[in-house]
Amino acid sequence: MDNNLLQKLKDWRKATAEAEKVPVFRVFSNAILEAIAQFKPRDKEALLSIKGIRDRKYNKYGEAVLDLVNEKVENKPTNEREEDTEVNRSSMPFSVSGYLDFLNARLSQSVARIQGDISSLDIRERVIYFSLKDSKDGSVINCLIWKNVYELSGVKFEIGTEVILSGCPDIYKPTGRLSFKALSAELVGEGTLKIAYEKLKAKLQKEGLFDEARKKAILPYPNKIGLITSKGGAVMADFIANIGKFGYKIFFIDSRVEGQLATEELLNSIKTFRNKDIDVLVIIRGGGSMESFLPFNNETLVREVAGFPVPILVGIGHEKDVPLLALVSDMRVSTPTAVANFLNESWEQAETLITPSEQKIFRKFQSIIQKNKDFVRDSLDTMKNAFQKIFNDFSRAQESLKIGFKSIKDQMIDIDRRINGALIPVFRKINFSILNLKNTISDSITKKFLKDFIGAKNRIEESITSYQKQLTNNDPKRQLKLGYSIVMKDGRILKTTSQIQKGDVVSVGLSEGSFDSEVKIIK
Amino acid sequence: MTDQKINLKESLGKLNNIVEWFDEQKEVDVELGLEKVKEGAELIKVCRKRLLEVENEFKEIQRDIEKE
Repeated sequence: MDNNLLQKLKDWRKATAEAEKVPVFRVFSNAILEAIAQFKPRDKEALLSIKGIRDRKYNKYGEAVLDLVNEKVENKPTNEREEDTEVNRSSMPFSVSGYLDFLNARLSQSVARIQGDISSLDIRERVIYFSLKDSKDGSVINCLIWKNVYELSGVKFEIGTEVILSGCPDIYKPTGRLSFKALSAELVGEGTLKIAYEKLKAKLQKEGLFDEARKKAILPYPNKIGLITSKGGAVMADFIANIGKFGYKIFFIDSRVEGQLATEELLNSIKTFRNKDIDVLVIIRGGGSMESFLPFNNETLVREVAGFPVPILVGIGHEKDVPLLALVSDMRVSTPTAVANFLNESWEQAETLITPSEQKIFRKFQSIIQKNKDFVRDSLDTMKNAFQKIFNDFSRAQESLKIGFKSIKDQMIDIDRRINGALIPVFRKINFSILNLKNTISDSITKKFLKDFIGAKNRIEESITSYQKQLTNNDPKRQLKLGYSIVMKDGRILKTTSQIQKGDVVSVGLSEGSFDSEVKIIK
Repeated sequence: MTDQKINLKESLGKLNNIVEWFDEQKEVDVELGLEKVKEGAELIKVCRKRLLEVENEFKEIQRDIEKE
């Protein structure tokens, strides 16, 4: 790279930016100035082949830049010519080293894009040596690419892969070997791109980089937002137009999103955000062909996104194949507008959360108040009803008492009347009967008693006389006088021989006196 | 801004808790209910304030250049 030219370009940029009162990067980014200093484009076509310089930029600054480059370019040959003349004049030969330096200086201006098949490959730690073969006539050129440049290119070198290299030739002084130093590499054709895409996709998928489980959640109410996109495009305008006014703090890095330089810029932009305090990192770009998405399918970039500490939200339009960067991101939508809506969502929902909550709380409380009011009213009603019932019952009782007393009074009057009516004849009758009784008793009782008494006395006297006769006839002593005796044993009269035994002493009573006799023989 | 953010998230959470509290109660103590309503009203005020239109801040920052 021509550092003198780079310095001149930077000086010019500073002056231009000051004159236009814009930041220096608005004129040209460092990357573009470095590319100009590297490739030294000498005409419009060459200048426009540098990524990031389009018609607009060319029309504005193209002439000034070409002047700077050409001045340098023209000066040098002049000097060299002088040198040549001097060399020729003095016939002083070049040293080998000096000549190689001389050649390398010339070769560094032979910037080109060349297309061919990779025909040999030697991958070392920091550099890859390979050869590129012309597919038509088999011509071969030695090439090399720095490992970091290779990785950023996103192209996997294999023997037979057809690539387009950008760079310039260079002679390696220790071996005198000429190599084309590739500063970028890209695959040829969509078909090849598709194969590379599918291969890398399968590889990353196998590693689990696309797994849902490892995706970080974008928390609600994001506030500090990192934004990476190309400045001034429609994509940026869409995003700004749709992001709600919720007091977001948006930190923006302008980055190319297409072309060979995009990969490096995107990578550095993401790395820059590693050290910033943000809630979410947003990467957006519009749609495009598979080729234009090459940077978004870059393995290094995809891995950087996978390892990023904060959730990454991606909004990139794509046609068929989802860019790998989108697959590995924590959340992907397809447009910048959708990204803005996604970020707004929780904020907007917050409002829709508040109103129903508010209504619910107040409604609930109102119903509680109403419930309590109802309770008080019901209680009052119950009490009122209860007392009313008591009053009613009392009135009814009073009424029935009144009726009761009246009825009792009436009944008593009636009873009194009836008693009086009934008793008077009864008493009269009783009096009359008593009188009768008196008379009857004194007459009949006296006569009957006397008659009965005399009859009974006569009957008793007759009985006594009869009994006396009978007693006289039946007296045992009368029998004894006739010569009969009574034999007794132990005070009992003997009637059969079974009452005695031989040897018993029996008493024999006679009419006059008695004696004891011993039983000798029982017959 | 950060404080407001935390407040919004927390406030909405608290607000939700109050709603749930009302949902869960069968017999609500009026005094306690009133306390909750007061708290809810305050939270709603805080949330609404945060959701008022607040202009965004936009700041362009420079990419760190990493060169070998």
